[in-house]
Amino acid sequence: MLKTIVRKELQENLYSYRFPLFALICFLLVPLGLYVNNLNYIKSVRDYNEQMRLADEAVASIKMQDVMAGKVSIKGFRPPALLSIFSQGFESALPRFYEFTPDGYMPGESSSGEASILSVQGKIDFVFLIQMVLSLVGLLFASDVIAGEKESGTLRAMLSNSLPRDTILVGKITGGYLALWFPFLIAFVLGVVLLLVRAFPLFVGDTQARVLSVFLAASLFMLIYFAIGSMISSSSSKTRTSLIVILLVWVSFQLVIPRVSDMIADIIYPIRTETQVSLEKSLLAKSVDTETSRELGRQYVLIYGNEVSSGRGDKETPEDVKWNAVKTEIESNARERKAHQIKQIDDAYGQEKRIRQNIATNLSLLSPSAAFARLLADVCGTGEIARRKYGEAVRDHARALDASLFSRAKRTVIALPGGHTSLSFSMQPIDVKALPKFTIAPASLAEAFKEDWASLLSLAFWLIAPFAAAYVRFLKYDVR
Amino acid sequence: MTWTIARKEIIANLLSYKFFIVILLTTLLLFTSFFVLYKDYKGRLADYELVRAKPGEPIAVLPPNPLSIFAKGLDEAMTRSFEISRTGIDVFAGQKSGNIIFAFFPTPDFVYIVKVVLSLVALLFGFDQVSREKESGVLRLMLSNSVSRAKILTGKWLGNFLSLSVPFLLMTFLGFALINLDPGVGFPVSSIGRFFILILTALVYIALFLSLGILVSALTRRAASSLVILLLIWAVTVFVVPNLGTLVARQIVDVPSVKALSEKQDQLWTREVLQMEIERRAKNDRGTGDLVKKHFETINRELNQMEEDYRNKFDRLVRLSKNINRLSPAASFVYATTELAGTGIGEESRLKEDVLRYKDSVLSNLERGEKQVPAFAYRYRTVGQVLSQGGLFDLVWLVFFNILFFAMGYVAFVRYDVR
Amino acid sequence: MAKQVSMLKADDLSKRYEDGVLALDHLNLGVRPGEVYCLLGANGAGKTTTINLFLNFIPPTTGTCYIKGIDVTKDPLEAKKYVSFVSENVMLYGNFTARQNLEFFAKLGGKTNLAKEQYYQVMRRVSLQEKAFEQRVKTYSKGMRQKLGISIAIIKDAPAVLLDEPTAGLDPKAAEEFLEILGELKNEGKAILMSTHDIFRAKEIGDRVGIMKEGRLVMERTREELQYEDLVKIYIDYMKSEPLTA
Repeated sequence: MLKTIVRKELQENLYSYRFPLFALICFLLVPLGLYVNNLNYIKSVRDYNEQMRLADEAVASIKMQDVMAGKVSIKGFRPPALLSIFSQGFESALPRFYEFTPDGYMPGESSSGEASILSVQGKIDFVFLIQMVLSLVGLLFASDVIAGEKESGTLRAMLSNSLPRDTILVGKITGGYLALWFPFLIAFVLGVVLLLVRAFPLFVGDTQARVLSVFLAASLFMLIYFAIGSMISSSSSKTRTSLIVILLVWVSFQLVIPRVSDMIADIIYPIRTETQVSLEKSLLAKSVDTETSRELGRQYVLIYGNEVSSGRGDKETPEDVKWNAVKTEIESNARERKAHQIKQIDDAYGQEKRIRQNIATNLSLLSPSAAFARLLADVCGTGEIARRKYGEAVRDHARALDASLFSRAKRTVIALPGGHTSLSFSMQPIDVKALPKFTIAPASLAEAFKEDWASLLSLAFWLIAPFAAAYVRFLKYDVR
Repeated sequence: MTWTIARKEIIANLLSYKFFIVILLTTLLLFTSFFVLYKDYKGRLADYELVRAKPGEPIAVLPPNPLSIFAKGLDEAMTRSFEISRTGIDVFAGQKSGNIIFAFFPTPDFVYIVKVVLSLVALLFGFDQVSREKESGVLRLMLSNSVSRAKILTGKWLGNFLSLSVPFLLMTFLGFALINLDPGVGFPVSSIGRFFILILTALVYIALFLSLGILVSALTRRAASSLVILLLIWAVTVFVVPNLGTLVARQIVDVPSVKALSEKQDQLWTREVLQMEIERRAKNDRGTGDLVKKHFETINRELNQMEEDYRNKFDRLVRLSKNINRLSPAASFVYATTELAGTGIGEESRLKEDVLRYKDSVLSNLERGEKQVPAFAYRYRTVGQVLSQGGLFDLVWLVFFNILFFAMGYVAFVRYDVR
Repeated sequence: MAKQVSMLKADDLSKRYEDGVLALDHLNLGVRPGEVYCLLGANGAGKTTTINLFLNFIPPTTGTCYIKGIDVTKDPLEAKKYVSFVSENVMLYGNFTARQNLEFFAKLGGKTNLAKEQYYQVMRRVSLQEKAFEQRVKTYSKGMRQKLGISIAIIKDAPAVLLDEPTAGLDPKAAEEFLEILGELKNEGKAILMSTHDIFRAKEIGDRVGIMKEGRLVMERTREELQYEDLVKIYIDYMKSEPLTA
């Protein structure tokens, strides 16, 4: 009996105008979106490689004097995420590189900088298509799952037979969903084929697993919206009413809840901007430096007396030895202190950001659309996790660079009592080739799922609850 | 007679719950947007105070545009800081408030809300205008009276448009007024005029979708089918076509990548330096100063040429993509409003030109040995300039869509089978 | 004739809706196999409510409906095996052909594995045009739809048949053809309950006729009794008389 209903449902959809319309949209949008985003990705990879090459050349030609003069800065580039083809996420909002200087680090511009002109209309990636377009289609096609049959009287015809209501409901939802899923499957495969044509490394690493996850998540997402649409349909007697309710629900889920949750998070828990924090850090660095040079000045006077000797002979006097030891100790203490305090600021700010992010995320998860988008972004390496790892990598790299480069060729300012300043140079060998490379530790797929458990929960809820609701409503549905 | 029908429509709307839910949702969205973007603006303004050029610093950076609260456009890109140095222009991220960075779902601005939500709402009001009344038989009843179909259609359109636009205008003006209360938000006097034209554009856009809704309603027999068709048209018009142009244009106009550019620059340097060496040897190291200067001039000139070529290609890309995108009224709407607000493509490219001119003046000052570093000052285009540089075209284009859809709807309704 | 057990039985059936309206007031009704029972009455008299109660579309306030002795509210799935339903306006799946609709509902009615020719036979029996068999139902006239509706009932071959104003809006010829088929079904021994406005045809086809007014069965006559009484006059008199509820 169930099979009969499913078959009937599939046939009915096939014969109506909906199926070819939906198939058209799918075949048009999905492969096109993937293909175009792939082109963009390839271009950004080319740009990235080029910029890395230029940066490496710059590093190779670093001269000691420049380091001492504080004129050297090193750029650390973030490689474009392969799966940004599917989900843009933060990809274009994140800075393409960070610039590391003796005073700290600064974000470079994001890739949205140049391409922004063309993106004033907004962007479409695969996730966007699923979220905005296919969700709407799913809702719409589900709108007359029940109400339509009631309107046309066929529901009564069915129910005058020995047919339990739940069979009807399950059969209709299954059949209706399959009529959507098959074209989507084909379109997705088509899109992946187009990617493979352009040398998409599908079989490298866990890319396969991720792409499969994307497909499953998208299928689940469409099912959720179909279920929600079915629930609304089994709560109203007219297709028109259910359509209107569906649209309002859609707008709420897609547009209102995600944005409002960010706003509420901002009201409950406002935080400082990144610019403010980096200013704080550089002020701190400067004050530590000033203090250090004063301290050095005091020690200098203690050791050498009050004469300011600018040139020293080749021989190392015992004072020289003492001075070097003291200087090294003071400088390393200062460095540690500075690193420690900067880390404190970073940690505190990181904490702030995390809390606010959690509030916004948890609120937004009321919408299955938001849950889906966040989950997929993390699966594709362009989400919250990627952003956090980028920040961690930047901080780690700053520390590493400081130890292996900036602190080795330093020009220290000594503030002598009496208001004079003197320069002291410390030089340790720098192995330009051995400088640490900027790397971002990638997050595994398992990590993504683990962290986004709340999203998974939200999706599971929105799958089960509408079904249950549809079931309950339909059991009592007035078929007359 | 037209007004009688219009009045009936308005009252019918006021009595329907769908109307109130829609108004509620839209209000929620609009005020959320106003509030969030207002706070974001304040944050960016504070950032600006931190990164603005101090006297003597060759930095070009604009304060955030208050109208970006309504039309974000490219304001973020335009408020980056451009530092002039001997090697060129270093671009820095500029002002970003915590909000924009962390928002996974960027807050939609007023323009986006109108473009996406209000177009949908207008469709919702229009889609069953004809088909519903046909289904219920009311249409036949109306037409059994001595009233022309033209009047009926106009009355329906008018009534629904007023139902839509009055609450919309109220909410928008309220938002604008509330934001204006804050003395920290500096709305220059000229921006009030711009804001009005912006609102007018929004009204034309909404009206267009209402006409479209009524048109499709008059072409279908069942209200449910007209809605589905309209929604598909809406999705394609609002989301797909505005991006299509960019995609297509990218395939047609080839803009060189960073790699290609840097290779060309390398070649240039190598060539000139070699040449310089050769000439220097020939002259036995005498008169090198002039030689160096000549070659550096060549290098500079050709670098500038390369940049200009790149910019020209890019401009062509932008123009082509704009023209294809304009097939969708949604794209036209975004172009018109962002240009009016001063956050559009035209304004951005004008800013870039100004920054380049600034760079030239800074560097030439440096050459001449002057201590003074000129300060960077930018004046936004006037409304007149905006309109003459494409803004008027987009506005007229939107009005054209309106007339087209209304006319087509009229024809369809006249031939509509009311049985 | 030995007293046969009723195939369709309404036992002290009452229905009060949520808004307080008493749609049925202690209805007692029985239809035997091989019998056509016509239910007459004004709009809102309770005819459709009765049918809805038999099909378990709504629960009764008091009383019980039985199909083949099975309590419809206690075991609806079992009960529905033994009844076919033809609605007032047979709306089927418009994009399907007649045969496809027939096939689907035959399967729902438990008749799987029928050959195409068998479907065609049934449709021929109801005088549906041959060329319409594989045409989409949304192109059908009302008469054709009603015929398809009864063919669905025929193919299910259930012992009881419920019809809700099946000839409303049909032209005289189509109505006549429809009732002929009904007559054949009666001769096959099916119990038929039909609600209708059509006094004249009710007299022709009905073995028994009942008049409902404001939820009550106020009169019941057999065919024999009607030979001597003028049904039309009785009906109109009842309609014109004072409302039962004062």
